Amino acid sequence: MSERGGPGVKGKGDGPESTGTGSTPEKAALAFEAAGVKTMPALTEDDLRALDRDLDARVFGAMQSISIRYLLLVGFLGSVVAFGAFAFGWQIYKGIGVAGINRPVFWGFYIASFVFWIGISHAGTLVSAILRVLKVEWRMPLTRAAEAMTLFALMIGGLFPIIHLGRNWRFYWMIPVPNERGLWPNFRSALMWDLLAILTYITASSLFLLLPLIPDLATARDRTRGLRRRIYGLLSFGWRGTQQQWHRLHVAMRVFTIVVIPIAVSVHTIVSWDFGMTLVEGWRSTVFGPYFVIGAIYSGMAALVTVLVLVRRSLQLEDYVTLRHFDRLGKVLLAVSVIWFYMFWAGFLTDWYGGSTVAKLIQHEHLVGHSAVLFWTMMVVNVLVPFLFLWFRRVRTSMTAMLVISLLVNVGMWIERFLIVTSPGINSLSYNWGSYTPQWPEIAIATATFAAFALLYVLFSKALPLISLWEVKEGWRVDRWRREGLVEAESDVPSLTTGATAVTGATATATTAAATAGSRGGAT
Amino acid sequence: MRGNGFVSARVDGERGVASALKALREAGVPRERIEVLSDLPLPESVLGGRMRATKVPWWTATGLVIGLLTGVFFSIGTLFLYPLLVGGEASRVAPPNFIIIYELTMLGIVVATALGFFLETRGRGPRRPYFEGVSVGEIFVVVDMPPDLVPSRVRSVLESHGAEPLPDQSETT
Repeated sequence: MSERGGPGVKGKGDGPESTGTGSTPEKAALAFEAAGVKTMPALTEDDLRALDRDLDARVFGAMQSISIRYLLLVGFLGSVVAFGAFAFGWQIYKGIGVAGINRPVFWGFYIASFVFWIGISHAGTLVSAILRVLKVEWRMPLTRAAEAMTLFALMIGGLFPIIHLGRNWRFYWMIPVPNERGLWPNFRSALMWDLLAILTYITASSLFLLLPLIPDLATARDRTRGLRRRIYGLLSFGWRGTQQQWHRLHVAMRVFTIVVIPIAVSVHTIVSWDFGMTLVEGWRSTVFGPYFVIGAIYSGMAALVTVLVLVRRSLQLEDYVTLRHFDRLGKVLLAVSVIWFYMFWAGFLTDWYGGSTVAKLIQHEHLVGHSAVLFWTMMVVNVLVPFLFLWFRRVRTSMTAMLVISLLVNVGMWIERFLIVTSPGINSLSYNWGSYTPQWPEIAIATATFAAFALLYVLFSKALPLISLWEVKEGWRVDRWRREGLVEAESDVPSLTTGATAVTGATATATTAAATAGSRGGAT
Repeated sequence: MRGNGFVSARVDGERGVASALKALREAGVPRERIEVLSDLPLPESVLGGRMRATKVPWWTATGLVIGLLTGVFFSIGTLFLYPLLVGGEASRVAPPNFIIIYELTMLGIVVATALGFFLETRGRGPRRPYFEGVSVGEIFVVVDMPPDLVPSRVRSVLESHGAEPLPDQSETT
């Protein structure tokens, strides 16, 4: 007896062209195009089951094998994180004076990194929630990686306001309980806005990651033994795969999908208001809210591309995270880069035309002054490079090119935050001008956070499925359900998915099948 | 209950599910006593109609109200608990309060929704059968036997519709 489907449910695609899976999707796609075949052959349940097994084997296989290279990587990243922790300890011991921040630049590396990491966290929301709402099907293999990125970036970003505090051990004063005099924290303070916004976002993104993970955790529970089985069993909350549980999951996910988007937008808007609501020239701006949000989406998307290139290669997921995904991500990245530049220009031109002396001095400093190298680097990597190269499909489907471009974009986005944060070096009191030079504890801590992010991701890839298995498998079946009349309208599909052939492995099998058939002289 | 209480069968694909469910209902098994276990959500057409309503939206609504009230308390209520008169400055200002109220309302929604989901999924009552075959794509039908039906009758109904009744050796999660 077949596991799902079987003789009674075979579709119209049954036949010689729908057998055989022996090639990589990319090779098959090339053969498919070379044969001039336009119509994808339909997938049978047997094809889909073969894909399911292959996907499970790759994902769970990657989770269970630990190589020397993996351990070395963990050791290296752990060492960098440990050095960052030492630097933080040194700062606590000696005082915040060991950092380079001083009058008039009170915010430096720490706050630039804070804004940067909060920005990175927007990738998960965009890819998972916004694309889910828009019913974009190609998001499916990417969602888990993006949601994990959101959570890790928030965990790291949320540390910086604490690191930045002069007396970190007083952090608990922000917890909303009255002190011994009955005095509550000042909720009108922007610091409290940040705290609550990040708390809300980290809670929402953790749960947004966990909920669709539960069915996959149940699968992991059934495939492991011993301690791992017990842990997965606990985390899967008694999941049995009943249709009532699936229904409940979809209802909860719909709520989360809708709610998490305004939460994400509010978080980066509030971060922007830390600057925009002050009276400091160079910061005071009404456009900062949307400008920061689009910047966050831009850096988040770029970081997602970086992570996916590395994960795809290291976990051998080329059949599931395909070149088509990078092609689409590249288009999104190009569109977002153009919007980012538009927002940047709107603020820049307004400042320039407004005629404020200090604002113009800051612009002069950026354009031809001491920070010109940073400014022009930012413009080249954030605007010129994406605009010149991402128009070309060949670039968008080249892993090396996408890795380089995405890394450059994030370098540019970090510089952008740094330039904003340190702009009070020039202010309305010329005797009070000054510059900022980061000191070793700041550099060590900021570097350690990048290592911490990578370390969390590396550990995550061994502990939990990095691809949402059930969503990918469900996506593959929507086309067959349509053909067999099991679903008619989008609302009949259990998830918020749409029809059309899934662009991942289903297409891979289809193209492989077509290529196989073509090589036998029996092209569709 | 366990042992005599449940009849389980492995079914063959979505059409097998639809056929078995229809036969079970015709044999007098109430719908709420039938469970279909699978590694993927099945279309409603296979299950013969809409799923039973879940209470998750009520949890969401409750979270919204609690979050909203907490936000109002923090942003406005605490001002009255300890009024601070700052020379000439407004101590009770609306716009910043909206941010606190908004964030806490959202927090209430997400926490309550997740809590509702977890509590409902955990469930109450006796442990129910589970089969590890679910994780490799097999589909199972589990009947929580009504007192007025004989298990052997239900087994034969399932068997006659292509399902493979299982001996009562079910695992529990």
